[in-house]
Amino acid sequence: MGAVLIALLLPFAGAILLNLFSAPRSARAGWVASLFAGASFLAVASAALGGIEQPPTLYLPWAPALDLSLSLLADGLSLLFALVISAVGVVVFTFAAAYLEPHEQRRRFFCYLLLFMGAMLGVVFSSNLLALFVFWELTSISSFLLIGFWHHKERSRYGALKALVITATGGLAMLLGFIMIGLVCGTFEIPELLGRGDLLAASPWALPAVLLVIAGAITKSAQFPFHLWLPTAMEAPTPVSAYLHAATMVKAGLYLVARLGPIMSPLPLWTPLLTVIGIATMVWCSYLALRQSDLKGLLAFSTVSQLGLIMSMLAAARPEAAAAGLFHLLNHAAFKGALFLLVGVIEHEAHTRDVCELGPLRKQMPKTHLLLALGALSMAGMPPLGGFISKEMFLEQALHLGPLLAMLSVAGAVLTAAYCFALAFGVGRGRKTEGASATATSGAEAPHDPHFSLLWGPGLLITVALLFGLFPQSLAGALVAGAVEAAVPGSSLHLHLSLWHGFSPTLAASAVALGSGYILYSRWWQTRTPDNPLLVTDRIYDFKLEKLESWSKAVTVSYMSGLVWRYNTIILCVGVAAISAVFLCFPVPQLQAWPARSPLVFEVAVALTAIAAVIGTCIAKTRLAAILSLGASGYTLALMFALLGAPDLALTQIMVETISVALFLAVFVFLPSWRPPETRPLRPGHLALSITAGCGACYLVALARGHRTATSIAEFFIENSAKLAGWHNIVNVILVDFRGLDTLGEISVLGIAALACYAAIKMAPQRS
Amino acid sequence: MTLPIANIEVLYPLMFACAWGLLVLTVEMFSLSRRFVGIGWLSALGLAAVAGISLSGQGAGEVFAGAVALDAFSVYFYVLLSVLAIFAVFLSMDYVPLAGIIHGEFYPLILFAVAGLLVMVSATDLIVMFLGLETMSMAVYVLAGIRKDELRSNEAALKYFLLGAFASALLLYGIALIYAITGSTVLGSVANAIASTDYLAADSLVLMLGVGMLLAGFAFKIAAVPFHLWTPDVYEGAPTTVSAFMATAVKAGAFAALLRIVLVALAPVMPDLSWLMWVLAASTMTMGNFVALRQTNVKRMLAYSSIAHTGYLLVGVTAATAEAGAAVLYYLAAYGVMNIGAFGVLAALTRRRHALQEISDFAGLGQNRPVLALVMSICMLSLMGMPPLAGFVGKFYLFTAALEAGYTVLVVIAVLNSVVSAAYYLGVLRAMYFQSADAEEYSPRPYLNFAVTAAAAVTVALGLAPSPVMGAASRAFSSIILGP
Repeated sequence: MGAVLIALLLPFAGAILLNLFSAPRSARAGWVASLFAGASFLAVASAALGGIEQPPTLYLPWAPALDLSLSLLADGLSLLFALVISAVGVVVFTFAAAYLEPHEQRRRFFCYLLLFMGAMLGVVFSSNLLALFVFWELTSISSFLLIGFWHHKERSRYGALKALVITATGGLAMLLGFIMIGLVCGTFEIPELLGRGDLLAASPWALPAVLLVIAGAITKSAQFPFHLWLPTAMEAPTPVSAYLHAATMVKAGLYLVARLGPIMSPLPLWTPLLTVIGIATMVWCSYLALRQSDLKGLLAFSTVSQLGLIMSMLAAARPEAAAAGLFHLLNHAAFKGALFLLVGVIEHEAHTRDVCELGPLRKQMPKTHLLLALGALSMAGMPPLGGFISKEMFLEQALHLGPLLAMLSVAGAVLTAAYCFALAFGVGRGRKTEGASATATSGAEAPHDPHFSLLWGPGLLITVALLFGLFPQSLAGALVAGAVEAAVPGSSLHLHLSLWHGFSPTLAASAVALGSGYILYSRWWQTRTPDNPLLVTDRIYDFKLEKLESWSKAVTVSYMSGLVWRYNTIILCVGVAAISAVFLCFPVPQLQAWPARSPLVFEVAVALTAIAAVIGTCIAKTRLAAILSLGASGYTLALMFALLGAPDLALTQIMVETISVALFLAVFVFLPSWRPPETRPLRPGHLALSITAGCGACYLVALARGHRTATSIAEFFIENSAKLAGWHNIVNVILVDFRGLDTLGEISVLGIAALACYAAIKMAPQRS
Repeated sequence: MTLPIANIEVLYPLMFACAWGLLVLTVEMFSLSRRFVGIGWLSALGLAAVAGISLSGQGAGEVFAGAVALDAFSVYFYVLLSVLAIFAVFLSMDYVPLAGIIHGEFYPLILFAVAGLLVMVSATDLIVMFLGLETMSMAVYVLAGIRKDELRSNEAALKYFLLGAFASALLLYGIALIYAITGSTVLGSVANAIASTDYLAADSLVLMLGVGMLLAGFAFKIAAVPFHLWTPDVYEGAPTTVSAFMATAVKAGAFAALLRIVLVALAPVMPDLSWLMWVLAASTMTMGNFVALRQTNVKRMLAYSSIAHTGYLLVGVTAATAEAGAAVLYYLAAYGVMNIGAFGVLAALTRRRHALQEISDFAGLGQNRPVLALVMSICMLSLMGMPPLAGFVGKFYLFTAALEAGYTVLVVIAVLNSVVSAAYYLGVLRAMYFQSADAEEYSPRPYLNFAVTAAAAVTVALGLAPSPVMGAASRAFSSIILGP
């Protein structure tokens, strides 16, 4: 297990060290990064060679309260993926070291790439669902940084954001699914979950969990209808496309399906839904690939389609199908990684990757073209390349899927073969001779085969693809068998990979696919014009994004105006609406009868004065008048208290009012002169709102008055003031005895306020 | 003569905070230099002492007939608030001279605000809680407007005050109505009164109005929709370190009080009101996130993000289980440090009397000031909820608890919101790393740099080793629901 931990930590360590000790454009950054990647590969390889006998998990607690832990697991499935990740990683790292221009920010590039590699290894080695999610999101983030690496290009920023939005959303959906699984089964550890699948099956959360996990898998693996992000992600530098979008990251979804298959496949919808999505993606995207003129676009759609093929195999959760899927995954990593790198080479040399603009490749770049053709033929399933064997295995399994899906699978194989032939033979044959050859017009020298440093990587991968065809059993047999054992536990599959299966319906299907594919290529593809159709899903994505932005803007403009009066209006409206709603929902209690006493004349007079004073405050033309009116309203209130038999309250009110008016007057001297705006139209709406709110508040007071349930505190004082304090004047007793400390506090406050008044008055003349 | 107050030691941290504030004010008055850094150190020292005293006094019980309690919940918040305030003080030690704030009352006001917050989080009586809230608010109103010659700062203070006074009135009215029905303002007695008789049938209207007003008042302080309107304007106009203090410590204090009210006093009516909290949570996070999308001013963006986070926190309040409560407590700590870091970076970019606040001002930061950019990245990613940072663990904790309590739809809304929020947080990252600009000369800012780096480090640490804080949070929360 130590080797696995080392393999996982090395890329992260490399990223940190590189960041600390390297110059931004250092030419050596690439080679140092390659060293780390290589060391990581060796660690994985040694773990794989060491067998899987030792206890397969390592457990580091993270947040035990949440059942969150960083635990590692290295069974056959993890090791197969890890080998692909690290092996292709080494090739891509060395390729990129030679490929990037000297002026590029290489340190940043290789940091991100190492970060990505570590995250990817984390995904496949995690034994805890949550840790898996953590690394999963880390791959999304690092892929965002890598796609946007050439950030001066608008398209590449767009592509980076799109990839992130779709994969991170899917990731969060997956997290929700994980949480559901964890809550139902009581653990997030994958090995423990294996025994608790029936708990999940019995729970009502089974279906949402399946759908959410599928959402995570198909967004990451760019399956229909989320295939839209992969083509735009092709704005990334080519090594990134080769690594992330062909060999590794997009396979995380496949890994998830294979890993959770034992738990999820007995649940409804898992197998059928994933199979249908996989086959549909395979057919539809291989058709779209045929319509591309951009070589990278073609490869992007072909990747999506091939991933669909593997997805449909892994979803079945049968050992034979899983073997087909996993072996094809190995083949795909080899030939697709190579094809991407070769397209990068072509772009590097010819400064274009448009099928219609490229010159005669076979003459200009013979070695590159040979490798390209070999890779494409492996993808088409041409013997004796590795792709042939896995395509055979796929077709054999597809024939079990029922007539419709079987036919679709064969159709997909035909389309695949067609675009592969186009890639192998159609590129750069000067088919569109009048099309301006970029190389000729730019006056640069004709493109030629690049230096060996750019060719050996793809060459190696193609060789592997070839060897997979010639010696499948000895090279990949044990690896695939081990992975199948983990993906379909308890299976007893005697896997024997071999080039020649004898005559069978599968062989016939294969031959038909290749033949029709060639006809399709020669009769149709060579004569049509590629049109790079815009995806409907793309339009939906753009439309949604635009809508989101404009909606956000509309809300900001209308709602967040920054005007206090508007804010107050909104709050008051909400308040009035809420209170009305409460009145509608609950039984309204009776108002208690008012005391049967007609108001005295001066009570009415005082009340009217108070109202007049308040109105005066609102309409005052100068600040002084406003302050004085406000003071007047306070004094009338004090008068009211006195009339209603609360002299202590009246006294307090008068003191407070006096001090506040004095303070206002003293302080407002410092303010610049103010006059109300010339036109202040009275808005009827506001007036109505104010009156409603005010009357509502009054009504509430009246309502609450009648619903007092506790006994009045007055009783206590009447009973106890003579007994405890020896005095019959209750008000006095309260002030100096029962609440003596309160009184002390009030006196201090008033004293301090008076001091402040004095200070303010003293300072006032200095300014005027 | 002995004071007839049992358990007076409950009040020691509080009394110490007030006294220390006065001490700092006095020392400042006699200090020779207006830019005396020692005042900052003195304030930080006092705040650290508050945390220490409260830790040593844990479990002291209640005082004033159950009006204030120093239970594990109070202690958790005492420590959290002190730490956040210390961060704010350290940020200010460089920022205050830079922003041209020459008023000695700055640090004492922070201490007084903290004192108000302490009252608020440890109050077990509605009136005392209100007193704490007002004490804190008064200090913060002044802090928001302390740059007197700056129009935006004036505007911020005035707006905060006008709308805040409004909210206080609502709150007080709500307390009065609840008192009218239950005959008590002590949280436990209110709960008993509501639970023991069938108030819901007889006087439900008045009670519901009271509860509604109480919640509205708190919705204002925690910046929940539709009472969030002041937030962006005030955060933008206030001095950056004050915004940091408001967004973290003030919000944490208001949430603490809200938790006590909702999960203790109103526990008997909460099952009927969970729909209200649900709507509040969903609308708050959605509004916050969607409006934040269009912001180009980072300070305003952070204000909207704080609104959105109020929404996430309300998810926990809605769920109202023990796990959810503990998750809210943990999230407040995580949210606090990452926001301090984000606001701190903004403060660190201040030029003489001129704050750099637009997203475009962050261009090229990755090259010119790599450490600040890294801090900002950590904070943004954590706010976004990216593992393995504190924000992720907090969100995960919250959402799991809510899911367990059965609020699936609300959690789905919250997760979708997290996706939307990624867009604007990443905007800052994009500017820092994907755009370039010429390097600027900066005066050395040792305290600011130290504080933001520490905040980022804590954010990472809270994400990688959340267990201690999580344990404290869950102990703290269980102390209030198991109590009287």
